[in-house]
Amino acid sequence: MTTLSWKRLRRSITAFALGGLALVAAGTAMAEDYPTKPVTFVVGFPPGGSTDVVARILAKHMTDTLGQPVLVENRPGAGGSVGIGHVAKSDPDAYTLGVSGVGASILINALGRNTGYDFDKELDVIGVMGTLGLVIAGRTGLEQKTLPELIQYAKDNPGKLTYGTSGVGTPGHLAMAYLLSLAKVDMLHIPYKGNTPLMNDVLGGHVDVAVLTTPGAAEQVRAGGIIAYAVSSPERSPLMPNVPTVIEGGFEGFTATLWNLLVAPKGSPEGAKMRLSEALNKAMQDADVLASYAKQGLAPTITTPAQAQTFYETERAKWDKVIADAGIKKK
Amino acid sequence: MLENVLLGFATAVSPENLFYCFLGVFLGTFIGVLPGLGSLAAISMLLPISFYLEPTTALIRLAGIFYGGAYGGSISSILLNLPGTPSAAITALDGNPMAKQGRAGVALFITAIASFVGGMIGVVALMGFGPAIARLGLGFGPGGYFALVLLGLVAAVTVGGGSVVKGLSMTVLGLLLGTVGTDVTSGEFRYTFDFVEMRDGLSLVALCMGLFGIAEVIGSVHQAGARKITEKVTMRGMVPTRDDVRRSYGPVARGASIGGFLGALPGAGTVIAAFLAYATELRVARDKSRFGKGAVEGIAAPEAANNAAAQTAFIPTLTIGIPGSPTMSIMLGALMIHGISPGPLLVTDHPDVFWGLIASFWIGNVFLLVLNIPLIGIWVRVLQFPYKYIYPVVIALICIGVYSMRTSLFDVGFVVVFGALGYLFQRTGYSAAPLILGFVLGPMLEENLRRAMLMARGDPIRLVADPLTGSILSLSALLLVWAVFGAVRRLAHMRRLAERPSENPAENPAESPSGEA
Amino acid sequence: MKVMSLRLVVAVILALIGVVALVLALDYEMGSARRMGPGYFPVVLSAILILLSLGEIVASLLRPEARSIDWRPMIMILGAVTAFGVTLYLFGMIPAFFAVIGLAAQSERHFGWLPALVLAAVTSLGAYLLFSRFLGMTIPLVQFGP
Repeated sequence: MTTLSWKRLRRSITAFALGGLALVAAGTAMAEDYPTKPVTFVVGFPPGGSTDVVARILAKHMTDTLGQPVLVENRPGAGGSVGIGHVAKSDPDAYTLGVSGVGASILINALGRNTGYDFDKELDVIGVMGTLGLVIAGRTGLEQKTLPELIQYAKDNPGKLTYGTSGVGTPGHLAMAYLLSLAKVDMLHIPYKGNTPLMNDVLGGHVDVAVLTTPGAAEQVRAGGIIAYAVSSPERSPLMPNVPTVIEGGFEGFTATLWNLLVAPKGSPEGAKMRLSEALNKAMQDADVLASYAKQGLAPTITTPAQAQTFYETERAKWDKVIADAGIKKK
Repeated sequence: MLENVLLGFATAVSPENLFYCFLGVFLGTFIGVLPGLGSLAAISMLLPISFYLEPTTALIRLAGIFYGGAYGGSISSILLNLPGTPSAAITALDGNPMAKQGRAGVALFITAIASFVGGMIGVVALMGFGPAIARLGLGFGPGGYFALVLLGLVAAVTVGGGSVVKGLSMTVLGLLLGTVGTDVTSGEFRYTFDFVEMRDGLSLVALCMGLFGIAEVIGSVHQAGARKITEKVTMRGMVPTRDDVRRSYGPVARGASIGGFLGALPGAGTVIAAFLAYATELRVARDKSRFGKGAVEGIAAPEAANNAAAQTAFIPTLTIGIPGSPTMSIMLGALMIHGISPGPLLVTDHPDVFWGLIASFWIGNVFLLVLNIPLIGIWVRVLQFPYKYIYPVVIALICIGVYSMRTSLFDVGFVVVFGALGYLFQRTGYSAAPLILGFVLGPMLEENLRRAMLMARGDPIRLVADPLTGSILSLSALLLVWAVFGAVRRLAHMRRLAERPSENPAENPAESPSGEA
Repeated sequence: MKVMSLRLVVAVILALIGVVALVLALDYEMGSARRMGPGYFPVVLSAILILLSLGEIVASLLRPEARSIDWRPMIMILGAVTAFGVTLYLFGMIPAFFAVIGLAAQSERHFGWLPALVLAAVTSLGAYLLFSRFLGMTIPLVQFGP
């Protein structure tokens, strides 16, 4: 806290004394100096998870660009908010950065849960680290093979079908609840702790419908273990080109994607943030990174910090509306 | 089949892969020996390095770390009573008393052999019946898991030994501690006291290190003088007696079968395996009083079960893409980093990866044996150091180990709380092992029961009507009846003894569960 | 130092844990056996824990036993772990090792400062090599202020 106010004080003094132009000059000077020591990406999930994998792929490439090691530090807990909370409280020197997902950036807060930080006031968005669609899938025993058929069946048999998600308040849960509210049908929600037990139960036929992440689902669809009804991304997934989008299934404007933002503590030097943004965008154009992204169903994104901020604000407005319209109760 | 195996060995025996397999086993053992750090810690810490290797090589190296870590964890639980995982806690039940009796070398030797045999049986099951076992695993829905977890808990209560009330109290406390965090079914926070750090529940490692490690050290410091290790480290001191060997056959075979089967069930399997194996030995043993005081069966069975389960846990991971444990999900993550999507088609799409890995399991297990048998002598020498120079380092390593698991100071604080509790429990004859099992299984029990009831639309008959669920539930009921029957008979026996003038030393309540004399 | 009935103390602690857990759990939605809420398990479990420890309380009153607590190692070692956490937060990993080993060593009356310092130095070096150099973990070695 003291460091933050110190920083603010220092900044305002500088601004008064030298004027805005001097600040920009200082920023550029910083950019040349940055980074002089290893940079840390804080991931709010354990190693080996999808967020961790994204962070490591990008960190590897950005290490080459920045000329300093980019390390990945796992601080798992509370849907990523333990890690992002740590970043928010770190020195604003752009050496401690966070990989912030939908939950830690928006959902936990939007559902009335305290994250321990104020995303807008304590963090700066540097860039978007790619987006990933969700898949609405069903057990193979179901006779309905398309999304409209499934919705019609659910309409005729209210409450008969069950749908599993990776947890209460996860993007999958909210997206599905929103879809069901749009279609005005009733299915029983079965929450799981993550994708693994959910996948087990939909493969074993214990739950009817499941909202899954793309790379895992694509493999199961290919092997015929589950039926894919639709993907929630705006466009079809290259991993499953035959599976239509929810929009194609008759729900105009329906999208739900997972993403990660690269964030820095508020007040980090502008020059350093620009340097990071450039390095991130360069990674997004690298052939190896693109190949890894494609294998995981991730869509690469190239954004300036300003565009990334707009992306975040649009997403936040969308999820707020989803939560309100789907009638999810806040805690 | 045979050509696949040959392909596997051709992949695995390349000098590079052999080197990394050996390195993995070595590093895994080394990190696993550190208090609090087991195979999960070893794998997650060493994961980043595998980024720069070929996918098969990376996986072989991780598999090596995995075995090494598990065995290393057994070493520290046996020598210093520092288990970091539930299965290591079981090994410590009899392994640590053996070490205190000066039979650490024998305990480590039997552990190594039982792990090896268990692992080999597991690999054979994996090769022979992989897909079949995987399908069986999928048949377990929420009801089946609930029943299985309940079976594990019933076994735990009967494992406790000593006072039934105390064993039950510890199990219930463990279950209660397991409810801390976010409730999966409702998303509600329970007992989090508004701490973000507590939403994912308490740290298992902090709990284990406090209840076992810290408590053990506090209890041992003043006995350090009396605890002179008389054991001479000779080859003879390490080799089990004929009696030890004879006693181990059955437990290893039973343990490996139990573990081999349960390992295939994602989530619950690997945790329950060691416990059920131990409980089984306790059931079939003629002289139950030897358990908890250094019975060879008490380490042979759980170690064999644990390692067989560790192997068959790869079945759901590799054949259907469902990781059976946190360690397995890291292995899948490693595959994903290398652009291989794990799933049911892995075997057909990447036969070199799949069969290379399986071949490396054989090689890794052999390395583990080759590496560790000669090292036993060195490990045992650790005990010959004066305890006063060991324990401060142990405390320091517990601290850094717990901290590094989640980079969390919060967890270090919990070590203090659980350390204090653990010491009090140890002084008053409460065993921490059922607490750990309750803690690990509690969330699975509750989650699956509530999920099953949701799916059965609140109808308990529909839940029990499922043949799988029903039969496992009956098995638990049978075990419970058996235990109660046994307890009643013991009570009657005691009463008869009490009528005689002599005292029964076996029921002396002053005896602590760790078997310190 | 002797405490008259440690068994009673532990049983009371367990009962208190049960009572606190029960009181807190009453805030969570209970639900029914058919549709259990988040409060169902905690309420049932804490009630069982209370009953079991009440039994132990009665039993230990009927049969008091003298058990001892080794206060010195208990305080020193728990203090050492606490000191590790505080020092790590404020000054980094190396000072934290000196704090934890220095304090833990005081569990023994005649440990001596020199061996403690040597142990701490050796452990710090080992941990530095393993965690910082080999595993690349980002624990600050020495720092001033959090």
